[in-house]
Amino acid sequence: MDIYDLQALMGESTETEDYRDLWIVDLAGDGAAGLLGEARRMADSLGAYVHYFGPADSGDAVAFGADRVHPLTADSADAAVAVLAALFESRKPEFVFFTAGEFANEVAARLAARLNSGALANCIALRLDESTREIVASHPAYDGAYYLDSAITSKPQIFTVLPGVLPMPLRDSGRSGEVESIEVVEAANRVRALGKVDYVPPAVPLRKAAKVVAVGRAGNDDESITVAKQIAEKIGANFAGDRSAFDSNWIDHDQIVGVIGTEIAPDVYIAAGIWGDTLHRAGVEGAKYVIAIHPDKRAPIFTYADACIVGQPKDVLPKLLALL
Amino acid sequence: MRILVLLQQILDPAGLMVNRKAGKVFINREDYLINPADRRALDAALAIKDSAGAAVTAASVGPARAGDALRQARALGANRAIHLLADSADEAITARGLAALCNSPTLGGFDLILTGDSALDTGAAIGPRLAEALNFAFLGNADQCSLAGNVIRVVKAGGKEVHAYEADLPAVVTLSRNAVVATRYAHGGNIITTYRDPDAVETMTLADLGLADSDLQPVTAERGQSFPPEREFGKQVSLEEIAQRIGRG
Repeated sequence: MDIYDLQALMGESTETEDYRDLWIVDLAGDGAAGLLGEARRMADSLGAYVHYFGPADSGDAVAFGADRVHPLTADSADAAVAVLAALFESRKPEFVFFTAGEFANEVAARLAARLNSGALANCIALRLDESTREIVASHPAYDGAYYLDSAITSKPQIFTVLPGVLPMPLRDSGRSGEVESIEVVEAANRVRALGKVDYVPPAVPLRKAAKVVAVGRAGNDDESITVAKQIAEKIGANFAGDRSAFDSNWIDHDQIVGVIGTEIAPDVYIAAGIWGDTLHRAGVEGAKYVIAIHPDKRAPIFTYADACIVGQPKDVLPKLLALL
Repeated sequence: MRILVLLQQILDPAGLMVNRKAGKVFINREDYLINPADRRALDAALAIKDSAGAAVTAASVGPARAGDALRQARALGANRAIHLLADSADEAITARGLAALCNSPTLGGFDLILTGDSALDTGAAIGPRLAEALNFAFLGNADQCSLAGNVIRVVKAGGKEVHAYEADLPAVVTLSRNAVVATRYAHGGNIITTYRDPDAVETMTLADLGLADSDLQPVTAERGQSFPPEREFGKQVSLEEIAQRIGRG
């Protein structure tokens, strides 16, 4: 029994105040535990309820903070938007959260357009102002070089939150909640899926690669170079090296990374056995995340690597390949 | 076959310097360029024009400087360019203005609307909003798109597998920034011509399209900026963490 039922028993109007609840729409079906915990905290400070829309077997939603669970299956964006927009008319939530993803971002943006509101995609932090009932969300600008703090000035406020940025809430198996089915709205799916296609993306030049695996002479041998190539293939990275790798005939001349070769700015740069002098550093300055494996802990590469492993690449690389 | 391409301008990231410690973004050089994903959409539209024959119209909502993006589109081969003047336009106002443009009887409507998946600077996604406003089919984040008769077919390389989708026209298709489309470069003479020709870009205001002030309320408001923590170097991590980091995405 909740406040709606109490009001009904006491003969009060069950009409609820407009725009008050929090919705969590779990289209990926991964449970959205972090979002549930965050929404629970916000709901407690606002005096609102948390509604969870997701797979029917999501038993943990209540334990993580949902008050009502609504089984929702939507295999197309057209269907998801139609169901949610129809429900919105009667329920009028104040906040709607999705776990960010390509599908969820599309549904969120289209739902916002249909409801004449706004949606912020790929948020990494949500801050609620209880007095104005407004959430200021941080979302990436220029691929996350910095974040814009934005608010949505109309209702409902719709956000998609990147997975893994919100802490996992405590599981409270004593909480109670109800399952309430929602009506299915028929919507014509205008997009036809044609299935998987055999398509090999064209090779990306080293200069533009998003991931680069580079090798150097320290602690590498012919076998570990083969392993490094396998790692590169597995994660879809370009294979490269420094000058010493070229001298060892492991790479071609156009695969040299650094000021003397190609200057790169990948998202992930893995340097195995590269000493990393100033000229190399200048060549990889733009790399967003540097992983360094080198046997000598004094190697300068460690002064600009985000993740460091001191060890022989020929020992470390096979272990890394096994974990991928 | 009539194609509309939407272009947005963004500040050139090469002219920006983000200082995480000071918590500031310094604009060293104020250059604007076409949002990279929108540029892919323009290239895709011109490829369809060359292969199947189509009239390509480029449109942009923004202040006077957006005219440069449209002149570039004309120089690359767009048949027509329309500039909707608006000093500040968020995604709702932009989508409204463009929907009004598509419904405008003087332009005669469009079969296919191409644009970038999202803006690099604000992450604003116009495509899905426009699809809703016009009630068109929507195909998002395409890496390739091709036209076969009255059907638009796209290829998406999301994750490890590549999938194909199709929809009947009219449709809105957004292209990803990494879309596999041959980049075109404008001939220098064409660029000069577009700047000499006073009619290269047609300028309209949102009021011309019959939009009242009440239709033009922004739905988002910027409240500041925040910055990721400074990078910490030299941290020892376990192999499992590294495998997780490089294995995803």
